[in-house]
Amino acid sequence: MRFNFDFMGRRRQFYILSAVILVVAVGGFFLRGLNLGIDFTGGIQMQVHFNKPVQLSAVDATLRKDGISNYFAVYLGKGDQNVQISMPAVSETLRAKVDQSLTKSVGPYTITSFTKVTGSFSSQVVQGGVIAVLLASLGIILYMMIRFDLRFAVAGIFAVFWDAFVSLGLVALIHFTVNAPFVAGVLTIIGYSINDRIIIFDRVRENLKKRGKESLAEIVNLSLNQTLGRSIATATVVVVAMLAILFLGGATTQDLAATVVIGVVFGAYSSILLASPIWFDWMSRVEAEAAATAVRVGRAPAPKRQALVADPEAEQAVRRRTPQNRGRGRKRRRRR
Amino acid sequence: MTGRGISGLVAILVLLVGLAYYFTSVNPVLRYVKQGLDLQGGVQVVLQATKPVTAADMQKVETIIAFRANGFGVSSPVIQIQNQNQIVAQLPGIKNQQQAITALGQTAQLEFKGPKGQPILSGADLVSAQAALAGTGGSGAVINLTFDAAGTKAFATATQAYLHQPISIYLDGKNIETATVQAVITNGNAQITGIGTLQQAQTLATLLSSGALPVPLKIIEATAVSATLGASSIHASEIAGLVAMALIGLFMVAAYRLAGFLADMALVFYLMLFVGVLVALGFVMTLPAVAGVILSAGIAVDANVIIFARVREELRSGLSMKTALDKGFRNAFRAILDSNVSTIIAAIVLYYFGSGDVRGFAVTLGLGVAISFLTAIVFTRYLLRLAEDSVLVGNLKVFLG
Repeated sequence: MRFNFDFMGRRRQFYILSAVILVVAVGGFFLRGLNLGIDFTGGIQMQVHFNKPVQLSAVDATLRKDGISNYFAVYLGKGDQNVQISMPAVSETLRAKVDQSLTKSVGPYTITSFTKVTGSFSSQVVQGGVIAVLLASLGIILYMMIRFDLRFAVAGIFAVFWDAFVSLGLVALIHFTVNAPFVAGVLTIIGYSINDRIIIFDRVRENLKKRGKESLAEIVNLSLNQTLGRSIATATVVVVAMLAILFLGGATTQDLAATVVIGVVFGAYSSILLASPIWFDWMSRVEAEAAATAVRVGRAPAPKRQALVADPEAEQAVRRRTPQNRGRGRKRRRRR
Repeated sequence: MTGRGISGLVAILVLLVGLAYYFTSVNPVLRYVKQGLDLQGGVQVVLQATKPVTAADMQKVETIIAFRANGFGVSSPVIQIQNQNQIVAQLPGIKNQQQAITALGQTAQLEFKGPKGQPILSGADLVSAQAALAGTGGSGAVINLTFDAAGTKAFATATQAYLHQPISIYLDGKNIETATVQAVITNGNAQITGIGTLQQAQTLATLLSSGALPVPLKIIEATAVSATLGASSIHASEIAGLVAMALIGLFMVAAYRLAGFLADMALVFYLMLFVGVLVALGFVMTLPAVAGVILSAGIAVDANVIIFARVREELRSGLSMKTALDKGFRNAFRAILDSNVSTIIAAIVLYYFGSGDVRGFAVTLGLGVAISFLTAIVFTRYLLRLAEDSVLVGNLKVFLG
C-alpha cells in the first residue's frame, strides 16, 4: 500500500483535535475521577461464598452493628451466595469480630479472596511508579538527544505524556475499577508510545539526510506516508491480540488489555498527528531564523544546520505554501 | 535458483514445529515458570516495625519470618527487607491464609511467671516446641516444650520453689494457661495444654520455635488470593494468549505472504528462547510481568513488520531481490536499534527505581526486547536469505504480497 496524505498541511486541525481529546480526557479525569480499586484507596476487600443464598441487607445490618462505616457489599455472579465486601482497613481484632458476627447472623461462609491494603502503602507504590516513569523518560530524552537531537527528543516525550494523560482520562471516563495491574497497563502504553515515535522519527531523520533539497513539509509528509503501512499493521496486530485477551482472558488480565488497547490506538494517532507536527513546527522556526540570520549577515547558514535543514529557497517555498504561518512563533508560544 | 534454500527452510520449519510440540505438549515448559501470588494464589504480607530498628534487628526479623514461613509449609517463600523497616513476605500456595497473615508477624514472646508474676524463663530458653494431640483425658491439642540447659535449671528451681502453687504461661503478655505445679521438673520439659485444634497448636509451635521477634511488627498490607481464583484466570489467559498468537500469525501471513510465514517462524523461535531464559533465571511471573511479555512480543512483531515494509519499498524502487533484502535490512536495522535501545533504557531505569510490581514488568520488557532484537536481526534475516536462495522468491507475489 502506498499513501500520499498531506499531514503537515492539515496539522492545525490535528492540533485542535489533539487539544480537544486532551481536554475531554483531562475533564473526565478530574470530573469523573479514576475508579480506584482497593490497591490505591487502601482498605479491606474480601469475596466470600455463603453456604446458602443470603440477603445483602442482613450483611449490611451486621457490618453496621459492628461499627464499620463506609462498607460496601455487592453480590458477585448469580445465586446470591457470593458477596464482595469492601470496608476500611480496620484492625485484625475488629475484622475477626466481623467474621464471627457474619457467621452468626448471616450464615457460615468461606473466604475466596481477601485483600488488605493500608492507605500509606498504596500511595508509596504510586509515588515510586511515577518517579520511576519520570526518570525513565529522562533516560530516553538523553538517548534521543545523542541519536537524534533535542527537538526530536522533546517532541517525542511530549506526545508520550499526551498518550499517558489521554489514556488515564479515558479510563476515568469508562470508569472501570483500576488496581495495581493498571500501573503495568500505563507502563505498557508508555513503552509502546516510545517505540512508535522512534520508528517514525528514524524515517524523518533518514529523509532529512537523503532529500536535503526538498522542503521540510514534503520530507515529513513523505516519511509519515512511507511508515503509515507499518503503523497500521503493527497497531492492528497489537489491538487484535489485546482484544483476544480482553474477551477470552481471565478477569485479572481484562483490565490490562482494555488499557493497552486504548493506549495503542492513541499512541499510533499521536506519533503521526501530534509528535511529528510539533517537531515540524519547531524545526521550521529554527530554519526560518537561520535563514534570516544568513540573509542579514550575508552568508550561508551554519554548516551543521545545513546538514539537517533544507536550503533557503526550499524554506521560502514552505512559507509560500502556508501563508498563515507568518507570526507562527508568537502563536505557538501562546498555544503551549 | 537452487534447492538448497528450500531444504534449509524445511529443515528449520520441521525443527521448530518439533520443538514447539515438545515444549507445549510433551514437556510443557510453562510448567517450569514460577508464578507469582497474583497468578498462583497465596499470601503477601508487608510488615512494618512499630519502633525504630537497627539493620541487625531487621536481619534477625527476616530470619525469624523465613523460619516461620517454612514452618507453615510454604515451599518457596520470598522474604525481603524493604525501606529499612519493612518486611515483605510472599507465601505462594499457602493453605490457611487468614491464620498465616495474623501469625506471621506475631511477636510470640513466651514467658513463664511465678504466682506473683515473678519471671521464671522466656521463649529464648527454648530448644524446641512441638505440637501434639492431647493424650487420653485431655482435649484439643498440646505443645511440648524442651528447654536448654539454663532454662532447664531455671525451671527446676522454680518448680521446686513454687511446688503446689500456680505457674502462669504468657504469650505476648496474654495469659494462655495457669497450672499448679504437681512435682519438681528437672528434665527440662513442659507442656502447654488446652490449645484448640492441632493446626492451631502447630502454628503456635512454629512461632515459639522461631523465637520472639526483637521488635513488634504491624501489618500494613496483606493480600490473599485464593488458589482457585488464580488457577481459573491462568487457564483463561493461556487460552487467550494462544488465540492472540494464532491471530497474529494469520495476520502476518495475510499481510506479508511467505515472508509473513517466515516471521511467524521467527516469532515462535523468539517465544521459546524468551520462556527458556525466564525459566533459567528462575523468574517469578506476575501479572505486570505478563504485560511486559505482551509489549515485547508486540515490539518483536513490529521489528518484522518494519523489515518487510523496508524490503518491499526497495523492491518497488526496482532493486534486485538480493540488494533489496540487504538494503531493506540495513535501513530497518537503525530504526529497530534505536527504538529497542530506548525501550531497554526505560526498562533498566524502571527496574532500578521501581517497586516489586514495576520491576517484574521491567525485567520481562527489557529481556524480551533484547531477545526480540536478536531474533529479528539474526534469525529473520537468515530465514529471508534462505528464502532468497530458493526458487520461492521467483514469484514476488508469493514472497511479499
